[in-house]
Amino acid sequence: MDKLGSKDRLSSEDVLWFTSKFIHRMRQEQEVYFRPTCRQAISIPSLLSSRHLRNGLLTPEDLVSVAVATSQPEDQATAYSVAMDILSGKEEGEKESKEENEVEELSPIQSKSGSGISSGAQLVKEWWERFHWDKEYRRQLMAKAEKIVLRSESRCEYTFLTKEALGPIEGEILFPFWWGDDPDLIDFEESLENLMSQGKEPSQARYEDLIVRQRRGQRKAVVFLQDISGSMDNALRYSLMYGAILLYALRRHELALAFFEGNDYIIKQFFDKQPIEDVVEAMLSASSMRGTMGEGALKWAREQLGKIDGRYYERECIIFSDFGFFDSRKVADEIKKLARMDVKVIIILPPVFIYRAGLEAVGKTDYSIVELDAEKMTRFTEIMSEAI
Amino acid sequence: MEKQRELRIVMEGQYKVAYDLLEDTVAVGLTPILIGPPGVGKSLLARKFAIDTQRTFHEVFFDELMRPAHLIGSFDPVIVLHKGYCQEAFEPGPLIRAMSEGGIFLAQEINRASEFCQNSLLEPLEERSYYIARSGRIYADENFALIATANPAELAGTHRISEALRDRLRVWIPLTYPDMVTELKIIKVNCDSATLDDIVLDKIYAIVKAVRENPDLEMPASIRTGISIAKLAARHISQGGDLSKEVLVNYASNVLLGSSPGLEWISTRKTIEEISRRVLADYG
Repeated sequence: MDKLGSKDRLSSEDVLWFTSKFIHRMRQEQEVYFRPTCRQAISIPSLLSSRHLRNGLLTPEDLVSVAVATSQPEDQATAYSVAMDILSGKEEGEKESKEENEVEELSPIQSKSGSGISSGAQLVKEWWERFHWDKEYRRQLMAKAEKIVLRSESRCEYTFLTKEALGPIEGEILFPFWWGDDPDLIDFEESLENLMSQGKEPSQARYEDLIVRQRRGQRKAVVFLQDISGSMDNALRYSLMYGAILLYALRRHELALAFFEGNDYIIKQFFDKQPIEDVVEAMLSASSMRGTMGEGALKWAREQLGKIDGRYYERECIIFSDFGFFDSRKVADEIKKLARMDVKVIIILPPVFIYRAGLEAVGKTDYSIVELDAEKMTRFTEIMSEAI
Repeated sequence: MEKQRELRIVMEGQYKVAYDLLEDTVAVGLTPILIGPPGVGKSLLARKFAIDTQRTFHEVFFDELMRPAHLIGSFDPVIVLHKGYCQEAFEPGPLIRAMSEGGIFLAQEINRASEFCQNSLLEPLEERSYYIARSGRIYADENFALIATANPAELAGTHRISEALRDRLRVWIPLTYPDMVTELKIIKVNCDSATLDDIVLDKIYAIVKAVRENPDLEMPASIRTGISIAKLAARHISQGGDLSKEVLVNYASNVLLGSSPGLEWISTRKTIEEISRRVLADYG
């Protein structure tokens, strides 16, 4: 086929050839974030047919603009260069061989782990040291996060079953209907019982007499508290990396993040419009400092979660710490207060060293503990999908 | 159908390109999404499209607390208790109304929609129908079209469009701040340009542009800010006032304060005033 870029008018064969070439090349591109789907392949000729009706002809510029417009914003720059390469007849072979070399340079960790030399902890250490700022490293974190999401969502499916299908749900939270509540959530059985207990006829029902079920398994509001005190020095790399995985896993939910040592450092509050990549960046860039005081950070977490309407969000607080707190009693009080607010508290302990005394001082309240030993690190996605 | 009220829109440059693409996209049954920062004219473009094609216009601003019932509609629970599930008890939401009337449904800030809401858009987009429990399936009129908008700064945020919905939003139309000539025309058509000469409009544009390019301010100044300053300046002149440098600086800083994150108003105001004075000094 002649170079498309040199043609004044394009035929329908040109359009189909360009579309198939463009979709194929985009799927091969390393830089592409969202691989083109069949819908995109169908959209290109459809949109071009409309352009043809408008202008009476199709030009190479139309191919480029439609190829770009049907690509996701993150990939539009790549789409433009791929479309231009196709128009100018540039082959993909030269580029591919270069990319293969780049991939080769990034692969040794995979081959090492494959040979069984590296333990889980060693693998984590290597990731941290060699791929800290690398795109591939981020992709691997995201892949782990995706596994957590998939496992956790398959567990949550039951929450979408109706009461009729499931029978009474233990511990289900009911509250009176209020303007703005989803009418689909009205429990008529409970509402009628409520009316009868007040001696009212159904015709006398007012909106607040209706009873609504709390929807579960929907959005979460999660506070991440990351201990960056001096005692976390050796453990921080693990703690931060697993924190980053959880940030990715919970990216669709409302997140808040703070670091703490003697002081508290608020990185993101709920509803701040901050890209998740910036939050992960902050998480991965933290370095350890001095003594640990946890009360302030936990108070901040409690305030943040207190602003969240528990009817619409499941509230969680995830604490990454070795529990070497100087103010253990106050920390224990704060954790108890969170538990009383129906906030799910998850404590993630690092693999290197834990202050058992500090943990015991907090006492047994309603929280879950995940201790990241070598065995748990290899099963992290499975464990966290249950915990969150 | 959308009322033929006067839309003050300048169909030039990027707006003409975007509008043509919007028309082409809807004509072949694909779903467009207009991407751009606040105040660049995304909803205005969609509204113009509804007027030009004589369709009704329904608009929803998504946020975290919006539920599918707000889009689809719901049974009035009290009527249901009185009369049971009947047609009279169902109050259709804007999406169902747009579908049955063959109108335009503008999904504003779609990336802020909860996954629950995002999923409820999949069926209307793919099958052009929606099943309402106890009421039956509603089929969309052939003229029904969904147009979405999103702010690019939020696309990468904690609120994300699900892969399934992304794949159905087929044409991504970018809009950004227009070039100087177009932006000045937009300001002119939106205020009483008879009282403002070109030099005053140039000064206003120069202040807005300088503020927009300042990295210390959290929110870039939108086109609306330029229009607001021009309206205040026009009113000042029409009341017989003298539009001195300080008056213009004062209007600019009051309007542009929206670019501050809130708690730092005093320092932001100072920054805006400094920028405005520096810009106006070039005009002598």
